Amino acid sequence: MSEPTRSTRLRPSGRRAIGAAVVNLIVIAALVAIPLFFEPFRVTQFTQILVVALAVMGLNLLTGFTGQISVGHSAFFGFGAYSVGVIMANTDAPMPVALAAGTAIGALAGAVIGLPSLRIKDTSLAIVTLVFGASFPALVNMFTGLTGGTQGLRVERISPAEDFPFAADQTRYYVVLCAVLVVAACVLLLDRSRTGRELRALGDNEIAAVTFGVNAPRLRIGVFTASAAITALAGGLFAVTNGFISSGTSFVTILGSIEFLTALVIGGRAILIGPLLGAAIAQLLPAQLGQESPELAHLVYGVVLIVILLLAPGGLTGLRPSTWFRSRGPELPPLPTTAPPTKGSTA
Amino acid sequence: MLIMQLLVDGVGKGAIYAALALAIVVCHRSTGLINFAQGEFATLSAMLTAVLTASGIPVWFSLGIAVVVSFIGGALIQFVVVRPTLKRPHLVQIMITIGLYICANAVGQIVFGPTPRPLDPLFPAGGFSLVGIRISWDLVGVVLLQALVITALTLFFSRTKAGLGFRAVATAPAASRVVGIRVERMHMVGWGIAAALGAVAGVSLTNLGVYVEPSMMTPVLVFSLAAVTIGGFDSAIGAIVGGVVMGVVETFATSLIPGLSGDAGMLVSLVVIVAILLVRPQGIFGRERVARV
Repeated sequence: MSEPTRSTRLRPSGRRAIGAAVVNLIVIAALVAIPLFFEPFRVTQFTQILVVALAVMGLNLLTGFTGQISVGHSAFFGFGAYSVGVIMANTDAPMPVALAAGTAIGALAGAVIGLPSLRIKDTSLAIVTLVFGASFPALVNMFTGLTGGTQGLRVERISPAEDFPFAADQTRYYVVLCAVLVVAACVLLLDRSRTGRELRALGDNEIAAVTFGVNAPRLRIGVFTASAAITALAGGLFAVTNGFISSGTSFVTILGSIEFLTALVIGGRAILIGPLLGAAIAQLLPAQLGQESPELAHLVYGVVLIVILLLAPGGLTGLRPSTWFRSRGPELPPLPTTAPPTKGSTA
Repeated sequence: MLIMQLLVDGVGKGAIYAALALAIVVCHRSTGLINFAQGEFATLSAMLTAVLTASGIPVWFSLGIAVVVSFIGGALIQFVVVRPTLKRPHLVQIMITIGLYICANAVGQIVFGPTPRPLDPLFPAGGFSLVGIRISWDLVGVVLLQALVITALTLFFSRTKAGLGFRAVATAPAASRVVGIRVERMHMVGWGIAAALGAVAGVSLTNLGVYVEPSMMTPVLVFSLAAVTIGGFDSAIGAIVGGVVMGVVETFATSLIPGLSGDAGMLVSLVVIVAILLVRPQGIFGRERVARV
């Protein structure tokens, strides 16, 4: 609780670093082993969790590093999914090319929306991205001839070659897993680099960061573009693993954005485990409750989100059980903000 | 003539956007955050009105009950959920209102069900014709009702002691506390008023041919957010002007631009919001914020 949500702590050292590495290795081993022990239905479900986790990693890049919030990532997910779907339906481009094109188009959309984010921040950025996300299904329906609108679009799914050792569901799972691990590795490298530190400085205190020579506009557009590209890749992978997309698919509506944000808040900021844990809970909780009623699942979702925000703002991976029973150290002084000094009661 | 007709229809819609935009502004002035759940709160109020009306209570009386219940509900939510996060980072506060959005939406789905239901009209059917422009009594009634509510609210803020206290808290919370104003109570009053305003907006919307259903307010929320952006987050008059402008702009864009109809009108608000934020981030009626470094 006493930890600030935007921590400037540099890389963890000593025992904690080794512990984190061990946990990550165990998680990766478990992820690789999962499809060998479950029936195809479960493997397909886990594939979906990985897709959501990848989208959340994209969002985490923006929110976790720079402290900005986007309620429009469902639209980037949709840009990726529909680019892949439309390209594969209308041309005979191979799937990897379509996925790369989908990611590039998502990145382009991110750069366009990221341009205003140079001046638009915090609440205003949340409004812009919310409206962007809310109007994406309408955009899809405007081009029904190309996208199929509410009727949907069939996309050719990933299917293994004859002599491939894995079944179709396992192959799809491993393709998505590869993407997740590669992206996680890239984000980890970014986190340890000079650019990563500049990004976090920007998120903590922009004026101070700029004073120390951080090129704020370049970083802001860059991080927004990368974030959108990762989420678009997740959308493309969703299209080729699910095989069907429509403007009613919940991931491309505003509910998708809310699910990504919820997963991000539940999971916390840990680069690999946070999004995975958040995506697993955000996907499995409604699936379990949803057998009774999907609405009840949404209610539980919202309540869980609010409770976590109130009690554990760092998310589940931000919890440090070892500190719960120790006496609290001195509270950190509040970060200086650019908000007017009159806001918030200071008495 | 078509242009005049569109203008009249746009003002009718704009009045509702203005009411919800005003709710968002009141909320922002009291606790400094944009409540993304404001539209869903309004949906719940409209649902309550529909349920009460269905049980035989006259529609105006039902609306009255819904306004009172919404006021209490809004104040309670502020007390339970929002107050503990007031000193937290912006991100947490925005996420809290998004959590409230999900909860309110789910409660509506569970209690009311997904089936759209019509609500008894507040105003007599029919209308009149003025130099070729068709104006329905519904439209006149909706605009007058919003005008009445906004006037009452203005009088409350400018002529009563509680209203003065509210404005004091919005401008200088620390100083207000020093002179003995209950800052926390004023925050609750702000959220209550916002929810009550939303109730009027939600029920008014049903008089323009919209059925009561779980996601009825989502487009209204989007246009109201655009209205607030045009007017400035802290300006009541800006919210009203912005709301009417958005109503007119939406009606013109969806009727005159081919291929742009229904929900695609939201794309118009996206363009408007981005343009305004780039040119004049504080809104047209907003004051520029000066930050202490």
